[in-house]
Amino acid sequence: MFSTPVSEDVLQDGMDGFRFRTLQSSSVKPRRGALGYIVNSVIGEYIVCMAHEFILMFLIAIFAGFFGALVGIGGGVIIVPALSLLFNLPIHLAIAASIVSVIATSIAGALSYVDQQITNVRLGMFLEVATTTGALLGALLGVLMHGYVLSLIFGALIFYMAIVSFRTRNKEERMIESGGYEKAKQDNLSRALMLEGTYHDHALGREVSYRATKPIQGSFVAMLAGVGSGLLGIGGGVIKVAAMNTMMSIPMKAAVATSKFMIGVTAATSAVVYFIAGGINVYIVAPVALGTMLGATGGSAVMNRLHSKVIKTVFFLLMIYLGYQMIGKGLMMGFAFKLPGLM
Amino acid sequence: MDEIQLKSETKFINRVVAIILATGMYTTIAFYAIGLAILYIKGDSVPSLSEQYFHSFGSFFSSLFTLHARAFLYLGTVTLILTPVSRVLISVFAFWKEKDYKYVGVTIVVFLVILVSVLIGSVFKLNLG
Repeated sequence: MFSTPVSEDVLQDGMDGFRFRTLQSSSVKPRRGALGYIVNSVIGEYIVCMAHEFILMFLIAIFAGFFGALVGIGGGVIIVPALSLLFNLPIHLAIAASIVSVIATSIAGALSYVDQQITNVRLGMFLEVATTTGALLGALLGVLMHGYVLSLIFGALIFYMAIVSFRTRNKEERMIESGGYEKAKQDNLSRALMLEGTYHDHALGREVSYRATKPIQGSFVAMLAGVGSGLLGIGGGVIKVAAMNTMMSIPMKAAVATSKFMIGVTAATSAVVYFIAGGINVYIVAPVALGTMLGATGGSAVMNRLHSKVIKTVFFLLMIYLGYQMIGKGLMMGFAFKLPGLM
Repeated sequence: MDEIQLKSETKFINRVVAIILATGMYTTIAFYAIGLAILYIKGDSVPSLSEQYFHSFGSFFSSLFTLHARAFLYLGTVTLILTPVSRVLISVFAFWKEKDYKYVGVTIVVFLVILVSVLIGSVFKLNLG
């Protein structure tokens, strides 16, 4: 039951199990230990002991979580292409694994913010109605869609993320200084829902108060972020933060904290869909989720000590590369059209 | 409602949320660490996806007590997914205790959406072929 050896027929009937390069013949015993991986690759037999694939996945997940935290995104946009391109997993499994790791990173991130009382729990709960509904629809779409369509959409998303993340904002402090967040005119719904808050900003050394506006418009964008999250296995934090900050007039820090808080429930909703629909492979999910969680924790710890310009450039180049590869894979799978320079 | 009272309520809810999230996170890490350690030490191969789900409690517990990686990885994943869900559920009671009935309603709606996702997942099965 458990220790079923990976046999030829399991692999040939294909997409169901792992599509790793695996044991060529059953006479060769899989090797253990970190050295095994290197030895096996050198003799070129493509014998991969599963344990090593896990370690590789674990390391990539740590990198994705760490790097993601540095540029202020979840690891999803790196995890999905890595699993899909490097391990040649069906993209549905990659998305499902990524969405679970998104829960993990969001819990780790949300914890520190909730403790610091920056998170606006009411605002989060209110917007979660929209994000979970979106996540539900997104996961449903994802389950129904062909893999190549998802690859193409993902490629396009990565290109978009690359461009968005390259822009920097610094109007934030001016807005706090001028008291723009406190003076925001509140509509009746926001007032009835008590969508307002105060937090202590350590960098500015003072309390920042704010009142939210336009809850309906904010909900609409949050729902779109939810759809993206469920469909593509990403957190969608960038979109949620933008919606809260620019549309609902929430200061950046409160928006980021509240977004982290929401992402967990949003991702859990689509994870439930993927789990019950049969897309969760715990052998992939475990190393990926654990790795991203560790990486993200380390990443947020060193974030302030690094030069953001270099990181942003590296991130930009990586995203462009991964986006190209994902679109290439989608075109290959869907239309047998081969772009030059694919993995 | 005066300012000070609002603040203490918010602090109470934030505190409850933080405790749930921390408990869920550390439990998940523990399950995953045990599972991956077993997997690495035994050097097992991976069952195909359809063999990964447990079809009965009996097979789950026998796999758990004989220290098979699958049971621990499974437990870790389920704990992880259920952590935000239980956060929502317990928030219903936290808001209720604070007599904030508007948000009791809002939170129940979020919980209902999650319940619908169970339904959606069991109606539409993933076809990887």
